[in-house]
Amino acid sequence: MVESCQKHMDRPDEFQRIAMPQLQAAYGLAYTLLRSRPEAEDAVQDSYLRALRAFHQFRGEAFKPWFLTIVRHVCYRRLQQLKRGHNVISLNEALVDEGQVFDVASDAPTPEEVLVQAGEVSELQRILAALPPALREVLHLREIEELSYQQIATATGVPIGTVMSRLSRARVQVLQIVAGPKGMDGKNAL
Amino acid sequence: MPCDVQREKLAAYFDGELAGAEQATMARHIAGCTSCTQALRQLQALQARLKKEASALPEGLAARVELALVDAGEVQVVPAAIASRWRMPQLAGLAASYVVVALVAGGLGYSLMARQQVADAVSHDVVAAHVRALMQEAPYQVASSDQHTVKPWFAGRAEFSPQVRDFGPQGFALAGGRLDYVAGQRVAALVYRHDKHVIDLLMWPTAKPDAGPQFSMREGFHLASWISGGLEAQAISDMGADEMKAFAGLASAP
Repeated sequence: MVESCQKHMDRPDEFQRIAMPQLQAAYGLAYTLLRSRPEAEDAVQDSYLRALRAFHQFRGEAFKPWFLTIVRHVCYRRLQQLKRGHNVISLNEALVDEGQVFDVASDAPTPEEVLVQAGEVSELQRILAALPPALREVLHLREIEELSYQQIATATGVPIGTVMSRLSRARVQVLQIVAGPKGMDGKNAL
Repeated sequence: MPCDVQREKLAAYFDGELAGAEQATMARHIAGCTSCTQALRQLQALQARLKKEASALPEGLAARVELALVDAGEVQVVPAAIASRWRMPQLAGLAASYVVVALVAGGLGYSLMARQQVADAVSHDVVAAHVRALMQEAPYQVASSDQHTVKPWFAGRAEFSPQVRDFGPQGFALAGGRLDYVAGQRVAALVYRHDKHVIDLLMWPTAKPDAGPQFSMREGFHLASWISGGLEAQAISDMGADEMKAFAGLASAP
């Protein structure tokens, strides 16, 4: 009885042992893609549950890129849902009684915008938020998570060449603005 | 003089992605090339700034994830983050002794303990949400006794669609709805009125199986919790126990 129980518990325990240390990485990537703390938190929880269910497919390669692939999928799905959600709200708003004004999600400032207005988000964060998600994530995976090009290619499902060009584009775009006009002129600019 | 080293190659050098010999050749080149040196400095500066501004892990997320894993299945390991929520060292020590107990007693006992903590944390959040709402001018963001107005309001705001019903004829009139935050997630809150009492009915998705209403008291409020159709529900109010039972009976009926 104890033994069968033990066997049953084996994998989930193993999962928790190797997955929990990746929490910061998971949240960092989720926040990078979703740019909203509650959204990122929900996505992280969702990712852990999905990864637990998919853990039997894990073949013992590097865990981090495998897991971040799942985080990424969850986040992209959420991005899509958020877009769809805005449409749904607009439709519903049309159904609401006239004269009653409701806050429409699509018109509301994003958390980012609110913080920018409050002066609580740095210029860098504003620029990052404006980058396309595909560039943001490559930059994040390289600079913060320090994944190799190969690992980033695995996690994002694109060839290494694409990783390199996206990384380059992301850096150029951010540097152009962060470094100011001085970084933009001359041939020395990256 | 402009340097013909490609941007991507310099980046690959910076990222440590060049083969050994190439990496060394590049290092020698950069040492004698001002434009590459400057470009490299920019890359270093960018990396430092990105690292400095990297988003910090929100407090409580580790506990939330671990509890979700416990809930999802057979993860019986002691959620370390729950133990670490107890700030005082003595309590942390106590938590450590729980670890020993849990290991000795096997996973089941611990799992029950973890569940108890979840339930406590949830009811704490529920009370806090209710009290907060009562302090506002109106405990709802959308005011309507019409379920067809309240339900669409949640679409797009919550990731699920709560069942919205009015029990006005039975003495519990729908007053409106709002979003709230319980157990680390956004929840739908329906607001009912019974005489002068305000009732909050908080709902969020769960994977747990259906369960009938259970009643408890906390900080002078009556609470009722149940699970129905994939939604976990918590009702809270300062009305009497019998009235809460009547309300829970109505609201938990499929």
